[in-house]
Parts: sequence; structure tokens; C-alpha cells
Amino acid sequence: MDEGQGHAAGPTVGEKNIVGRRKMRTEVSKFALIQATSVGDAIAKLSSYGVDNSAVISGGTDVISRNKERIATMMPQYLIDISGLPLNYITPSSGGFKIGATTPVIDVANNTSVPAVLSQAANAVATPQIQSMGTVAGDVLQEVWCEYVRNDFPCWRNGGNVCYGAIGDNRYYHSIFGGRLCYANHAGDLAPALTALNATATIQSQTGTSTVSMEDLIPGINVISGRVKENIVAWNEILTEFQIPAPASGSVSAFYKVRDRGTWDFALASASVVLNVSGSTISSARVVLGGVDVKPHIATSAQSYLAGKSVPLSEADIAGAAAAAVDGAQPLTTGTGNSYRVTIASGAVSKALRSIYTPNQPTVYAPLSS
Amino acid sequence: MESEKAEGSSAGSEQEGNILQTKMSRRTFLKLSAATAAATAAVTTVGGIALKSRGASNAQSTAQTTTDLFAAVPITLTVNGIPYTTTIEPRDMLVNVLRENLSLTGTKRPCDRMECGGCTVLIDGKAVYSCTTLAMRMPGHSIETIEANNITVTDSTLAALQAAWVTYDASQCGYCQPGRLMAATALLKNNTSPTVDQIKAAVAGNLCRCGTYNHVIAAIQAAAASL
Amino acid sequence: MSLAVVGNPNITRRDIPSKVTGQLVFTYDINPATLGLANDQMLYMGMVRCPYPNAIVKKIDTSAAEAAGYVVLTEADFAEYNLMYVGSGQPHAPISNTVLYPGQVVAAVAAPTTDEVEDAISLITVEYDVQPFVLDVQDALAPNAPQLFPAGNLPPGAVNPENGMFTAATLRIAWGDADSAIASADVVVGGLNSPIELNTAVIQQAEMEPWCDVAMWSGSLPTVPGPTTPTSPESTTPSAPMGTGLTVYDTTEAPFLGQATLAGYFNIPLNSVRVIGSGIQGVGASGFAGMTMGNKLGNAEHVIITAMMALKSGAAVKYGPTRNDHLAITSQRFSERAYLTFAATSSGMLTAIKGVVYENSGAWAGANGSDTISDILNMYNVANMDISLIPVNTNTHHYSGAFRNVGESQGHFFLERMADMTAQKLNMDPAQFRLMNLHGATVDTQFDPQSGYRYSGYEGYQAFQAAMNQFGWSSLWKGWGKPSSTNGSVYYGVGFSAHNGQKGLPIPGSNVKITVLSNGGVFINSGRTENGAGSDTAIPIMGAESLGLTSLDNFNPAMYPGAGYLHADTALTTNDSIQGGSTSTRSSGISIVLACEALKEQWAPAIAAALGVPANTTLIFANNTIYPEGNPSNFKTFTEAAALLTPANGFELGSVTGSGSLLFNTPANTTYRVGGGKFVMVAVDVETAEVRVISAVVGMDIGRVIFAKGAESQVQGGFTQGIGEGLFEEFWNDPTTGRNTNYNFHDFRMATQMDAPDSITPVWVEYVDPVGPFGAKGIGENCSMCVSAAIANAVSNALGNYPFTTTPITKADIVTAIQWMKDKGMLPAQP
Repeated sequence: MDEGQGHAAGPTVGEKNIVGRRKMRTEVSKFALIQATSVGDAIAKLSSYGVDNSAVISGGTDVISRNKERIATMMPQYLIDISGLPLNYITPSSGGFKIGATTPVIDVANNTSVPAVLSQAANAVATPQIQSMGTVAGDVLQEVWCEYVRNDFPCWRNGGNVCYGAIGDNRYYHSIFGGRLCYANHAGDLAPALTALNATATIQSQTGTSTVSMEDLIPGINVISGRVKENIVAWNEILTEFQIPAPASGSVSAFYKVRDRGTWDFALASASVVLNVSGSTISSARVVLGGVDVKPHIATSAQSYLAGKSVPLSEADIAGAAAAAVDGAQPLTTGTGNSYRVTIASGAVSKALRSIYTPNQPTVYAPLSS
Repeated sequence: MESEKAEGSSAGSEQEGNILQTKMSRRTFLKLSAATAAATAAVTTVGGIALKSRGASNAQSTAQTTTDLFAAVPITLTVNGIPYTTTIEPRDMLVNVLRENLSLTGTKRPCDRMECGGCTVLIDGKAVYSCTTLAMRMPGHSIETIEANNITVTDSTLAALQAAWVTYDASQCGYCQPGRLMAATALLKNNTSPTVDQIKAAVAGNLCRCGTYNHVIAAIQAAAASL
Repeated sequence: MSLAVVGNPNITRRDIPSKVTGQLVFTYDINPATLGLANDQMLYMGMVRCPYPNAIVKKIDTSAAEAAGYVVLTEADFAEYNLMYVGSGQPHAPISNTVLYPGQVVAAVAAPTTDEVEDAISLITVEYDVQPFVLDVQDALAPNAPQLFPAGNLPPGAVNPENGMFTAATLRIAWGDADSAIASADVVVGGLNSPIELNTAVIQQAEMEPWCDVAMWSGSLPTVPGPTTPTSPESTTPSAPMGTGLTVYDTTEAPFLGQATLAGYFNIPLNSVRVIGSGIQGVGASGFAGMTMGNKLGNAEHVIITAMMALKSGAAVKYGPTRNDHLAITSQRFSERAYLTFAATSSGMLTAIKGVVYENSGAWAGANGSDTISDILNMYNVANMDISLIPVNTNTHHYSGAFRNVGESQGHFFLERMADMTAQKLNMDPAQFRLMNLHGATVDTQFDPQSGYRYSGYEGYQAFQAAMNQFGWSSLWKGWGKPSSTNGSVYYGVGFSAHNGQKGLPIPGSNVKITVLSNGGVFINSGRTENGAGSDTAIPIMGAESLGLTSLDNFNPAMYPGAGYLHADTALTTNDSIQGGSTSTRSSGISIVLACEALKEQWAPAIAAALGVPANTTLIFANNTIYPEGNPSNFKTFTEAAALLTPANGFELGSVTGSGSLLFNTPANTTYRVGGGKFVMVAVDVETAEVRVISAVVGMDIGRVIFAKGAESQVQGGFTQGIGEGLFEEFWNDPTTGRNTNYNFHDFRMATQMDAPDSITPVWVEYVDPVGPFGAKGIGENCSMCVSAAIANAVSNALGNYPFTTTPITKADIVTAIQWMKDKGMLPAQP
């Protein structure tokens, strides 16, 4: 930037010059609520109304919020309501669990049988009210919260061809592990926990159902039906269920979320850890970071580091795992930069690991011990 | 106004407690619409205030048609135990229906984005943000607002909190307090001896710009002790 | 003086019952039925706003909106009317095709239902000619910077409406010889060629009830109903005929200022405009606004736009802004950048302060930062001073207007970071450094160096010490570079800000009336808005004390029909100045005491007669009784004395009313400051950068506590706002486009329940100020200054005394500090 020149105008000039797929409708905020009678019926209705005009609604917290922001590419008029379908359950299954897509987050938060990493993650979602209103699949599949998308900047997700975060303010909502096209973090706390648990997801489409791993569900930036997304669920497909496999014996888990304030905010970084312990040795571990990448970030170096360590973990081993967890970090150095979240991600791993064997570890929220 | 649709629609899930599932099939819903003419006579109009309809300025008739899915339709909501019949569009959020159609302005709408908690009401006993709750889904659910005790005391937990708010000066401008009081009511109905951490967690989703947080904790503790 | 009601810790806030039941109708709650209107007599307004920070409207196409039957306003609709200004800034039309900040209104549209407002907005299409923008104050002063106005980016001088003083566009105060003092000093922080740069952020008011208004013109509409009570005839004598002209319900802190603005703008007689601060409430009172912090002090574009829409449409028009609207077009707290140098002797005496403060006035305001300078002048005894204020217009935000403490949280941040850094360089306890240098510690130094006026009274030094001792500073502070304590990765830091604040003066122009009814009820008529600061309780407390009552029962209409407090209605109430500047307690307090004296004077002869004593006997009002001085056993109860208020006894209205006015300040040439200190403990997690304020102790020389519960609430509330200012809140301009990206509460982050400390404890120094009712001073704004300064000093202490110089201290800043500590081998902390 030249001294004293001010800043040049951005790449758009006037509302009418936005390139890409963008519509100005006159009845923009009106929508119809159409009850689906079954998952198949929902898919049929979505297919018939079309990609620009329809979307699934369950809890509604995400689709309604986007409609209110009048983001031109995110205002489907026909909302196919699946909240009445029998997809709300947490059922033990073969030593693990099946969790229906429209199960409220708060039911997972209050469930004492599911693995701790998952109930703790659910408990960290936003606020109690949003936990009651939002659903498990909704949390996993929600649109990214990046301030540019939400303010209808003409970025990759809104029909343009630039990531404003990559060149501008990327402190909170953009990846520290690199990206392609769109750098926005995958949003939500449950997906990293489900990934750490090796969960799978069932997707129903016009042609049948398939069950995919969390890694395949959220591979990162891809383009589906002309939209930039980080998950693979097409507009006329329905994610119906998550499956959590039976844990290995001796398995313990934990979740820790760091956010700007003490509630509400998305993660600056979160850590979901699962330790499969045999005797007093970790046989294998899962370490998944949230809020730091375009998808739940599997920290393979940290997982390797932890394998073979003894438990309870020493502070040295916790520190080693935490450092390994951010191996390969590529924070953005353009715009504001976001390298500080590398430190925070590492710290979240420390906290999550320590919490397993030291449940009352010191935190800023704990009572002051003098 | 019977629909020709098949009866195969879902009766809702077996699970209790998913407050946002509508348990009615479309056919049932249309039956309800037909019944509202009779129901209207039974509606209590509080204060004689005429209930406002939505979509009134559109040229569309409020008669149910299958071609205009955006149009206003009649609906009955039960708020604080009282059934209200009004007309709403599918896009209408509960907070606006409460405040405008039903003139129950105790529930506020400071942000309209689930970012402040000022619109919190209880639906089937759970605290939710009414700004992002579809009014269309409300038939069959109980809605409780800050006005619950204004005709007679219907909620003694809320009453204890309202009294404690006075003693502990837990309100300054007061605009955010109805939402917080409903969240606190939900807490104490489930747990009459909450720890400070449980109290904070229950009202964590309620912002206060005046900064009443410290007095709020004291008030909730006192109300809990009195129950 | 033994007081029954003043300072009584059991007095509860009068308006809580109506608010916790949802019965009190705020302005935002007004529906047609509230005003006795049919649904089709009210329209709802929305705004079309330009997202770009600097743009010219090339073309607005409103044809589709108008064809659909919606009423539209654009710049052209205001062409024949006056211009207006906000924040002492440049004149402009309420809607202008010259866009100078992101979110500026370019069109307004009104629709018959709230659902349709958004539809109507989407029917209007606008083409913009996007211009280069400038966000940084120094960039804006550089040659070739985009010029916001033909005359450049320096705002004009203007008169400050709060105190009538001329505010020069640039201000420089100097005495002694700062340059020489710095050049020859033992210890310098900064330097003549290397001053320390400190920055604060643009902050949103973010009040929960966004300002809003309903406007209607008479003629085709029914007469606007007045309040359903009170029954006191005195209070229902309107100053203007009802049902004519323009009526506006407004969340205003200054109804009479608003009335004058509207009358002036539309060029109509003053008494044809009625402004009501939320006039619908069934308990004999009105004028409640959901928290205001200065952005509701009149002169705002949106009220004029609403009134214009009502004029054009012929309907009542309600503008209840969306939160996005509100955060865009309200006023904000200005950011400031200071370049400062402090110089001291090796024994710790401050000898010089030199610097320049740039104020980011935003697009449309002028200079509002003089209180920043006032704090820099008043905080410390310093023989050599050279400080300048340069306000600058930029395209960052709408305008820098009044916002609780206006400029003083910035000023205290600059001062107290510099003072801590100076004390550190001296290797001196920072508290001892303050005690050695604080201005106003002795009577000799209790004067404003800029004006020379003496403080009316001051024990800020004592309040600082009281807070310091209650906090336990000497045992908690472990020295420079060391946290107070650690527990694993959690580092506890302690810090403080000394406090010498500008707000809390009495404002001439306060008028109140108090009435005693024959049933013993008491009624206050005062144009002051109640916004949550507590004047609706504090003023009755002072009235009750003056009348010898021992509770506020007599003001309760449920117990005494007709009793109460009527607020904020230009047709029905007195002009009680403004709800702002922490002036309520002092101004209305002085007026209510005077009003009670006038009332008692009229009432006394009847009471004396009933007591069988001569008419000119001095009567004592105490303990709910009235008796001749020296003879308490010959008494009438307050109720018995009230029953004497009959026509037969010469009280034709069945009541007695006293008026009181604060006309001018005595003594003349006096200044009013409030002082003390805020001490804070914070916890910082060096693993995760999480931070939380653990506890705070706030010392203040309040003079006299009037409303005890409310005073504590003010301290805690102001402190909580300061937590946001210190750690989370900032206005976001996207660097590439200059557009704002956080017009919402998700990313404009106020402190939540979880961020509140475990305790915020006020420590009052009551010394009875000579100018102030019962010796009280105003504290509301003083409660929100110094907080970000104290938190910054405490976080610095937690983290090896890392030299933070910017607020908010974000997690990114904390990680930088943690890395700095690691590089210096300071982690883990040594005991």
C-alpha cells in the first residue's frame, strides 16, 4: 500500500457488476415450509424444486440465519422439512451408537453413555438455547461462518473468484493448514469429535444410500453442483445417521475448545482426542483439531507420537503431542495473518489430553486456588 | 378444506422432547385450519386487543390453496396456557408472531440472529431463541413467555426469580431480562440446587450490555434457595 | 446528617417489577394497538444501505418498490429542507447520495407489515460508483489521501452541545518546556523522536434495545393518547395542544433536544412537536429506554427520516432497526492513536508528558476527544506538558459521538500504560509511582490545569488508596516481570488504573416538579429518561429524604393511587436536561431538593395550623412525620399532613407542587471530577491464550451514595463494558474493500456471563461534595473508564510485563506476548 494513497477500491464496482451465479429475487425472504413424508420424499422434492430453489431444514438454525442475511446464493425458497421424520435417536448399537441426523445437540450433550469427547463437544456448542434448537447433522453440515460469506462478499462461495479472508482478515475464520480456493474453517464442534471416534455417516440420495467415513464426508474444498463446499452432501441428498463404532477396550476420550469469549463463539481451535489404552500403554490414538482447517484436521504426527506412551501422560508427553499436533501448519501470512492459532491449537491439545487424567486441571475458568 | 394427500405422512418421532418437530401431518394441519372457525370463539383476547394478521396487505386470500405455498395461513398457538388463533406466513418467526400478532411484547428481539438471547422463551419447558423458531411448527407445543404470571401466577419458579431480581437489583435497563429470566426458569425447573457453574452455564446464552451478570448470579441463587 | 433513604442498602429499584413481567412497553415494543391505531394506520420502515465505505450513488431505481405500493425516500425528498449534523461534524442531508462510511443509508422504504419491509428493500436497486477509501487517521492526513470533504479530512470547529464550549478542531495545551525536560530527564519512556504509539479501537454502543422511533403527524390520525395515569392535574397540563403537529416516540436521552432538532429541521413551531421517550406504561410513568450510552442524545438522522416518511406517507411510521442497521448507522466510540513520551526523575517524580492524540472521528463527526486531553492534563502533577488532539475524518464508521465516558477510557488507557511502563523503568512499585504523582492528592493541587478552575471537591487520591488496600495490592504484586501467582499454565496477573475522570458535573437547565397528593402519594414530573442508570429510583430517593419519608412507598401507585414519576414527554414534563454525562444524580438531585423546599414552603402553613403553632414555625420533616423544630412529640404523620391538602385549606387542586431548577452552577468557575482507582486480577492461560478477569475492586470518591444497590450495579455494569473494550470489542473494516464485516453480535463481541469476574466490589469514599445533593457526585460514566487500562496492566503483569499498547488485547496479542516470554526464557515463571 502506498503511503498516503488510501486503499484502492475492491474488485467489485456496483451491485450490478458481480460476476458469477447470483440472483436478485423480488420476494427474496419468503419461503415455503414443505413437510417431507419420508427421506425419499424429501429427496424427490428437493430434486424437483432444484438446486437454487430448495434445501433441507431440520433444526433450522443455519438455513434460517442465512436467509435472514439475504446472502443471494443461500436463500432457497422451498424448505423441505425433515424435522418430523424419525431421525431423532441415540441408540446403542453393536457396542457403539447410532445417532439420527435430527437429534438435538443438547441430547448428545446430556447423554452420559456416548464417549466423553462427543458429549463434551456437544456441550461446547454455542449456547444452551442453540444446543436445544440445533441438530447433530445440522452442526456437521452447517455453512461456514466466515465474515465474508456471511456479509455476502462476492467470494468463491458467493459466485465470485476470490477468498477475501486469504487476502484480508483471516484471524478467526480461516485455515492455518492451508487451503485451495476457499480458506474458511470447517465450522462446528461435533465433526472433529465424530472424526476422532472414527464415526461414519449414511447419506441417502436418489440412487440409494451409502455410508462414508467422516474424512470422506468432509474432504475439504470441493465443488458440487456449482457450489464450493467442504462436505460432499449434495443439495438433494440427505444425511440420515451417524454411526459410532464400538470403542476399543480401555478407550478414553476428551474434548477441549478454545474460543474468544467464554461462550457462544466458534472455536479458535478445538481438540478431540481418543486414547486406546492397553494396560498402561497407549496402543493407538486419534487427535483431531477443529476450527483450524477446511475440514476436521487429523493430526497424524500427534497420533504417532502418542502411540506407545504410558498413561497417565506426563507433562513432557503432553507437550510433545501438542507440538506434534500442529505439524504441517501453514498459517496464512497474507492479510492479517493467523499464525497465533497454531499456538492455540497446540494448547487445546494439551488441555484435552491433560483433562483425561487430571479432571480438575487449572484453567482460567476454574476457581482460583491461592 | 380436506386435502387429497395420503395419510402416510409421519406422525412424528417416538422420541419425547424434540421441541421443534411438528407432529402433524399436512392432513391434520388442514383439519385444524377448518376447525379454527369454531376455535376462534373460545380464544381469550387479552385486553380485547384485536389480533393482527400477517400478509394482510397482499392481495392473496387467506384461504388455503395448494398453489401458493408462501401465503399466510391460520394457526393456533398456545402461549402461557392460552390458545391464540392468528394468521402467519411460513417464514414468520415466533418472536415476531408473539410481539406483533399477539401483542405479547415482553419477549424482545434485540439481534434476531441467536446472538444475544433476548428473545428466549420456553417451548415444552426448554429455553430456545424464538427469533429463529418457525411459528409454523408451534401448534401442539407449549410456549411460555415472561408474561406467564401476569394474569394469574402460573409459574411459581418464574415468580421466585422475578422477586429475587428485585431484591438483588439484577436489572438495569431491563431489556435483556425477560430472555434471561426464561432461561433461569428452565434451569430451576430442572434443578433447584444448581452450583454457580451450572447457573452460569444456563444463562451463558443471554447477553447483557448493562452488565448485570454479578447480581444475576446472586438473584438466581436466592431464588433457588427459596424453592 | 442521619439519612433514612439516601444510601439505604435496602431500597430496591422501582421499575424492576414492570420489566421482569414484560409489562413495561419500550419504544421498540410499540404496535399500532399500543397507540390506539388500526393496523393499516402504521407503516414499518427499513433502510437501503450502501456496503462500501466511500461511494457515490450513480442511480437508484425505486420504481419496482413504488409500483408495489411501498413509500420510498431518497436524497431528493430532503432537498428542500435544512441540513443537519451529527457529533459536531459536517452538515449533511439525512439521506445523502454521498456515501462516506460502510452501511450509510441511501434510501428508506416503508411497508404495511414488518414481513414486507425486507421484501420492499430488495425491490430497490442501486448502482454505486465506488471510490477509494481511507481508514487510518494518519493515512487520511497524508497528501493524496482520499478527501472526504472538499475542505479535506480535518473536521470543522464546532460547539459542543453538552457544555456549550467551543471545541477547536485541533487542540494543543502546553506549559513549561516539555522538550527540555525530556531531553534532560533521568528516565524517559518514549522520546522526542521515538514516542510510544498506543492505539484503541472503534467500539459499538451495542445497547440491547436499539434506538428506534415511531413518528406521526396529526390531521388524519386520532389524538395521541397520553398516559393513563397519573391523576395529578398538575402533571397533565400540557405545554402544547395535543393532537397537532408531529409526535415522535423515541428512545431518546434528550427529548427536548430532539424536539428542538425536529422543529428546526421541519421549520415548524417548537410546541407543535411532541417527543415522548416511550410513553406507554401503566404505572404512571414513562420515558424508559433500553439502555442508552450517548448515541440517543438527539441529532440522529434516523429520527428525521422516520418523521419525513410519516409526512410523505400520511401514516404513523415505526422504525425499529434491524441490528445490522443499528450497528451501521448509530454513533460509535472513536478509536484514538496516541504518541506519548513520559519523563521522570530517578526518584520517581514525573516531570514531563508530551504527545499527540489522533481521534478517528469517522465519516460525519467533528471533534469529540477533548475529554481524552482533559484526563491527560488532570491525572498527574507534571511541570511540563505538551499535548495535542487532532481529530480526523475517515471512512471507517458513521461518526464518533457520545458514548459512556467519551474519550476517557482511551485517555486512561494511554496514561496508565505509560505510567506503568515508567514505573517499570524506575523499578518502582507502580502504585507508589501513582501515590507520588497523582494530581489532586492535596487541596493545593485540586484544580484543572487547563481552565484553572478548582475541583468542587475531590478525594480521588483517598479512593485510590482505599481500593488499593482493599484489593491487597502490596501482597498481590510480586514485582516487575513476575506474575502474581501461577497454577500450572494459568498465570494470574494484577494491575490497576488510577482514575481522574471528567464526567459527573451538574448541568444547568435541569427542572423538576414534585407533587404531594392528598392521599399521601408523591409524584415527580421530570423530563429525564430512565435508561437503566437508575434515576427513576435515585431521584425519588432524594425527594423522599427531603420530605422526611423513610421508604419509597409513597411513590408507588399501587399503594397510593396517582403517585409515580412521569418521564420524558415534551408535552407533559419539565425540561430536565439530558440523561447523559452522569449528570442525573447531581442535576436532578439539586433540582428535586429545591423543588421539595418550595413544596414544603407552600404546605407548611396548613401543617402549622393543624399543629397549633405559628405559621412561620420551622417544621422538621423526618421519620414520616412533620413536627415543629424542638418538639417532636407534637407531630402529624405524613399521611395526616397530606389530608390537609384540600381546597378548603387553599389547595385548589387537592395537592401541592413544588418546582426546582438548577439554573446556574455555584460556585462559578468550578470544575467537577471524580477519582479513585480500579484494581483487577486476571488469569491468562499461557497454553491457550485464554484470559478472564477474576476479580476487581473499584474505588471512587462518590461523595454520597444515593441509591446503594444501583450504585453497585453501575460499577459492575460499567466494568463489564470495559472488559469487552479491553479484551474483545472492535469494529472490523475489511482491509481490501473497507467494508464493515461485524455489524452483528457474533463478531462484535461483548462480555458474556462467562467473561464476567467472580466479583466486582465497589469501595466508596463518601466525603460529602459541596456541590451535589446530599453531597453526591455522578458516577455512571466514571464506572466505565479505566477498565481497559486496568485490564491491560494486569494482563501485562501476568505475561512478564509484555508492553501491550493496543486495546482490545486479542488472543493474537496474547500469543505474541507468550512467544516473547518464551524467547526471553520467562516461561515457566520463576518464583
